[in-house]
This record gives sequence, C-alpha cells and structure tokens, in this order.
Amino acid sequence: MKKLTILFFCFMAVINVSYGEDKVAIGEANKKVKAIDDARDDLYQLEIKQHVEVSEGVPPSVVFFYKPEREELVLVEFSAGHEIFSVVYKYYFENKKIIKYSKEILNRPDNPPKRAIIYGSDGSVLWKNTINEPVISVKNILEIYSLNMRLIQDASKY
Amino acid sequence: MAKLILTGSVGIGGKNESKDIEAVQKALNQCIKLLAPLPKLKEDGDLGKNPASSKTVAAIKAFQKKVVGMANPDGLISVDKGTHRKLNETAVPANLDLLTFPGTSFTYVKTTKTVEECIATLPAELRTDFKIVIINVIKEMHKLGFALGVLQNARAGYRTFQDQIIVRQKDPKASGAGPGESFHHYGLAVDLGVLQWIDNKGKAHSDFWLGAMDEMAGYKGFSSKIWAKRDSYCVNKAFRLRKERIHLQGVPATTSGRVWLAKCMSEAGKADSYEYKKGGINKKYKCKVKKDASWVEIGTAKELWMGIVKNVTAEQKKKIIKHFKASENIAKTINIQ
Ligand SMILES: [Zn+2]
Repeated sequence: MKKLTILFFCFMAVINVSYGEDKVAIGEANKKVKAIDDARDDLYQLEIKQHVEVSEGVPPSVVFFYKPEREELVLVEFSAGHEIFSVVYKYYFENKKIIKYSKEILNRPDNPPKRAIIYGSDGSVLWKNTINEPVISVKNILEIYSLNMRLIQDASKY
Repeated sequence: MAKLILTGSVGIGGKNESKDIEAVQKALNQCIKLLAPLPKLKEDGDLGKNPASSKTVAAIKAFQKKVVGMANPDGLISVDKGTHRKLNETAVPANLDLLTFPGTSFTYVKTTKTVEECIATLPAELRTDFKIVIINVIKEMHKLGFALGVLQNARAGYRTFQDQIIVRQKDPKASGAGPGESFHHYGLAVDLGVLQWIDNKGKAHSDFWLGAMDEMAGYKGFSSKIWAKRDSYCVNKAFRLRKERIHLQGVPATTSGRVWLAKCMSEAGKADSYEYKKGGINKKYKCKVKKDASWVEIGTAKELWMGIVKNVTAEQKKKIIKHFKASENIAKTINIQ
C-alpha cells in the first residue's frame, strides 16, 4: 500500500509538470460538467425520439437538457441500443460553448474505454483520449437545438 | 518492420542521402507485391546519375499512385509527409503475406483462423436455408482474409426467451425486443461480427465490432467497407437492419418480431387467437378467446413472461400463459409468409 501511494504521488508530479496551466483548466471543466450532471433533474428537456416497429435494437433518441430560465442549452445526450449493448454520447455546454464531449459504450463484452474530449474556453482541445471528433459537430448540435426550440415555440403561438 | 526513419527527402529533387535511399528501397521491397509488375529493388542506397529514371523513383511513383492514391505522383518522399507515413503503415516484414482489400489501398494479412472454425461458431438452432446463406457469407469473407463468426457467450446467436430478458436486464437501453419478439428466438438471426483480423504489421485483433479498427489511423473508413462487403454476400436472403451493423436476419428488416410472436401464440392456442397491432408505443398484444368474440388487450410480452395477463378471467389467464410459454418451441420451426 505504501509503495502504491508513493507511485501515485510520483505520477501526480509528472502530470503537474507536463500539463501545468491546462490541468487547472481541465479541473475547472470537470467541475462544470459535474455541476451539470448534478442539476440534471432540475433541467428541462426537449426530446427527439423514433417510434418504429423494428424490435432488435433501440432506435437512437436525442435529449436536449436546458436551463428553464433563458432556455440555455447545457447538455445534449443521445443513446442508441444495439441488442446487447448501448452507446451514449454527451455534449456539455456553457454559454453556447462546448466544455466536454464523451462517448461511452455500455455493456459490450470487449469493454471499450470511455472516450472524451475536454475543451478550453476558446474552443481548443485541452485533453482527449480519442482521435475522433464528435460524432456530430458542435456547430450542428447547437443549430439543431435552436431550430427545434423555434419549432416548439412557433407551434405554440396559435 | 522497424519504423522507416529518414534524415532527409528521397526521390526527384530530394536530398538523397545514401542511407535514406537504402531505407526507402528496403521499405518499398517489403510491399513490392502491391506495386506489381515492378521487380524487387536493389538495396544499394543509390539512385544513379539521373534519379528521375531510376528504378527506385519508378517504385516510389508506383507506390504513390497505387497505395497513397495520388493522381500525379511526384516521385519524392518528404520526411513525415503523406508518402513517408503511408510507407511506414504499409511496409511489413517480407515473411508476411500482404493482402489488399478489393477496390481500396488497405492492406492486411490473412486471418489465422480456419473457415471451419468460423462456421463452428454458428448456433445449432439456425434454420437450414438461413444457415446456408450465412455459411456462404463466412466463406466469401474468409477468402478475403477475415474470420467472421458468432461471438460465444454474448447471446449473439440463438436466444431463449430467458436470454432476451437477461439482455434487457443487463442494459435496458440496449434492446427493444421483449421475450419472444427477437428473431434470435427463431433460428433466423445471427450477430455476425469479426472474430479475428490481422493488420499489416502482423498483429492479430479480436475485434468483433471493428471498434479497434475504427480507431487505428491507418484503417480509417475501412470497417464500413468490410461490412458492406459482408452485406453484398447476403444476396437478399439475409438482411441487415439499418441501425445494427452486425445483426443479420433471415426475414426482411421491416418484419415485425411481435407479429410473429402473436402467430406462435395463435398456433399454440388453436381455438384462441392472438394478434399484435403494429405501431404505438406500448407494444401490447391482444387476444380473442373462443367464448368471447371481441379482442381484449392482454399486455406486453414482458408482462406475459412475468405471468401478468390483463382483462381476462383466471381460467383464461392460465391458458394464455401456457400459449406464451409454448411459443418458445414453436418459434424454432414456424414459417410465416
Ligand atoms: Zn442480432
């Protein structure tokens, strides 16, 4: 146990040296992400879902989570079921800027690791463990959200 | 191979240091099969007096055209640029028998699994006609060098009703099918993935969904070509679902497993009939019992599995549960047009 602790501290030291300021920014981003996750039940939701007869998998559904006041988008989550496993994508936002993107494959026997990209306030990549860009671009996600919100609002006008 | 390290560029207009030229010649020889009909190069570190007319530059150009995909090969390998990187990805020890995927520049090595091993992964419950199609898919893909089959212990082949319950318990988001509603109960579905493929460095991957391949820089976009090839051997006898890569079934994609379950229950019921109304969110079954000519809603497949039957008498309930349970065996052989 003692050995492990020492190793752990060495590892931390290495990270500190190599990341420096980025590490602080990554910590900030993760804090914001946690705050959004914690507030999840209080957020309003806009959902896009297919109801089709196909029965083996589960068709993808998209949920936009937004703050009740000002309808600010904070989380977009979509998932699709593939018979024995499912895939969940998440986009976290603050003031229309992406904080974090993640892709998680759940219950697949080969157990692939969770993939994520953490962004800085200027949109640059602070950290990532995947070579992939988000499956749908951040720009498109934001556009789709505002279009759908407009659709909902227009539909309630009359 | 060991990484091709260059100190300067090689080819037309290049720095052409002798040891760099020799390294390039060695690397090109390791993938000379791709450059047919060009013969092997002399590994002498020399481009002659006029590099443009040397055999080495001819091989560089052939590599750029056939493997890199350049329309106008310039015959120059610059350090860490496209041709250099591709050569690093492609060159392998000469003892590896390199294959090129039809219509692409992706290279890899033939699987070490035999076609018999692949076929042996198919579940015994598969229906004969469907099995013939799937075996043919496996054989054709094996000719191309890939070992396709059914992953064991992953419920990717035949499933009992209980298996389907377990699948949903493990991950409620994964499957839309309740017990009795999947074509895996009917011997008419397999999840046919890649048991093994070997990359152009000779490394074997057990990569059923090709997730690892998708993340390898040198193989970007390759997995979709492999799946498309697999599907091309299905010849309208095995069908893929739009959103499922590995699943193949013996009935067209829009066929409802729920309608089939109702047919199985009717078969078990003889005098009592069952039906499933398509559409809607609740996926409920209806039943018409002999004494009472009107349809009554009896619940979902999962409810029936749990012994819950709605809107019927205790006596009818017993019968309906019996019919539902009998469906599991009927499903193995029933034919529905
Ligand atoms: Zn399947």
